Amino acid sequence: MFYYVLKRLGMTLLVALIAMVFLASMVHFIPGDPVKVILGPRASETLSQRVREEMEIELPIPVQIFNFISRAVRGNLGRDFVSGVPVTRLISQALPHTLALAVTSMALAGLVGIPLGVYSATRPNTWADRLTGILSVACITLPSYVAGLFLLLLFAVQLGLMPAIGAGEFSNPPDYLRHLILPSTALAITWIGYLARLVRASVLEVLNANYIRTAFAFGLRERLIFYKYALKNAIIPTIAIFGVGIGNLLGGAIFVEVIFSRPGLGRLIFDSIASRNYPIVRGGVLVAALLFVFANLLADLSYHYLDPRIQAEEARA
Amino acid sequence: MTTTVAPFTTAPARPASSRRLAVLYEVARRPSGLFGLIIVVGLIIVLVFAPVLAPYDDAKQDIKNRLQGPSASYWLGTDHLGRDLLSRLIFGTRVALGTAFPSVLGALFGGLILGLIAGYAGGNVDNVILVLTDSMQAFPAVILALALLALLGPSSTNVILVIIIAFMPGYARVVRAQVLSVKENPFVEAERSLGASNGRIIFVHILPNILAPLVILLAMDLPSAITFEAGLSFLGLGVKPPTPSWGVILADGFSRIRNSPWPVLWAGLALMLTTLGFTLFGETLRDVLDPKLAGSRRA
Repeated sequence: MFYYVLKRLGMTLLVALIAMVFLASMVHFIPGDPVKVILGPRASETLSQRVREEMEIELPIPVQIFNFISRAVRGNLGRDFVSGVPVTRLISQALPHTLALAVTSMALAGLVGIPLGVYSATRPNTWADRLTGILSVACITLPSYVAGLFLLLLFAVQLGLMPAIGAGEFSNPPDYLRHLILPSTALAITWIGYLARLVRASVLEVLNANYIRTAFAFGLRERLIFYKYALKNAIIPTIAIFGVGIGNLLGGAIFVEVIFSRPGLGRLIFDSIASRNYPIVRGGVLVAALLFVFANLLADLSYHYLDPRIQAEEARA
Repeated sequence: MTTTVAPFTTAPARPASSRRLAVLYEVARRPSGLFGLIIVVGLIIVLVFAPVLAPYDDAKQDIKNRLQGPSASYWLGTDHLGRDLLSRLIFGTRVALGTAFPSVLGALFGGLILGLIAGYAGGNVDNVILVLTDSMQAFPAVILALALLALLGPSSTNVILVIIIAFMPGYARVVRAQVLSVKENPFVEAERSLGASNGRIIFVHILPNILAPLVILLAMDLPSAITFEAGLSFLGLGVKPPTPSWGVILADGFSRIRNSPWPVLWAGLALMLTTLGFTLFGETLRDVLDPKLAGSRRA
């Protein structure tokens, strides 16, 4: 296990390093003057000069890359071109809103998707199972921005039941939660479908195991067998997709934050693209990539730790 | 008594077109496959016959009748410039599929080359390509696309380029895994011992054996590419207005959502049905072509 953790951690750090090199050098892949590429052809000479100095465009590219990485490691991602505010401060203000959205969406997906999967698996080939199957595919294929727009249209615009814009105040938890309901539902829908499918397949596999048959033979209650004994093992593969899920949620969060005007990381990146504020785009993308890479590492290690079969195979190898 | 022995004959190989028809027949026999096939074929018909099927020119404005609901003149209503929503949705099929097909094919081609090199060469070449594809996949696809479009600027061509870059690592990994498995087969060993060149082994023996899973992946990635394009166009970073992309219609509708729900509703439903149809078709095709993979789906 120790060797595996070390190897996986080394690989994650290497990938994170390459991601930083890519982001630091990306502007040079585009033909033309990098400052013109960043600011567009109509930028003023003063602003162009400030960007040239701020991004050290005159230095050789390897030095620029080294400087960016060494500053990023120390928590310095540059400054907003317009206001001069450090990018890390802007990101640290926006990130909690995105994390709250991602965590609520995942929790919602788990709360609905997992029972749906178990319900479906315990009634294989019935109408309820087929209906759940169709519902799962429909959820998986529904893009988060379409879900968000439909929810906004129905619950905020037509019925007026939910707030349409903003994130509410952290200091007022009920209000903050109310502002989270529609965006997190929009993001969770895809994952409800994924989890329902995955849990159904895993539970069906586990239900054929000897220990479950023994539990039935002992006359234990069905609900206890399904939700305690079967689900306990069947849930392990879902942990692996939580890592991938965070990446998809971060991508989907951009749309949802734009639709519901939430001041999160996605919205920050989107607004910075519109105002051609490249340090914020680069810093925001880097933070999103690092979150994704480390969430994947965490999911992978948890999966490895929780499934004794993987460790046993490793010991045999 | 004499016995006659029938001459030994081999059954004639079925031509490729007949095999393809047999696969389509198998897909259509399953309810979800049939549903998917109907939508896919319907969309292709709409794409080809858009000028005939659309009641109006997609850019024709009727300002007096803007933001109208469904009526006899405008079956699905009109947008903020009085343009017929049905006609815009019909022409939008061309944008959706016209972007998705080249994007996915481009990603497949790039991934095929990278995966073939990595899987066949092995060693350090494989390690370098693996780390590079892993690093590309370290970025959530939409966020990577935004970072690239921030520099490249919004346009249809750039959207295709960005989708190719975002999807290519996935194909490279699948191709690499397939090559690793196929190259261990005795027929590859036999060819090598007969002195066949690397090019011959790759293109004549390995490539035909790894194409089936790629066709399945291609069918299953098309809906992702369609939603990707529409999503980027919705954010204003993809296809530029007045081109009738479904994402552009959604964006126009979103900015006037309190005045008229119709643009958002119809464009959203078009996207929903299209992705559902392509996904069901792709999944049934996978089940028919490779039953071992049934029930699995790339997250």
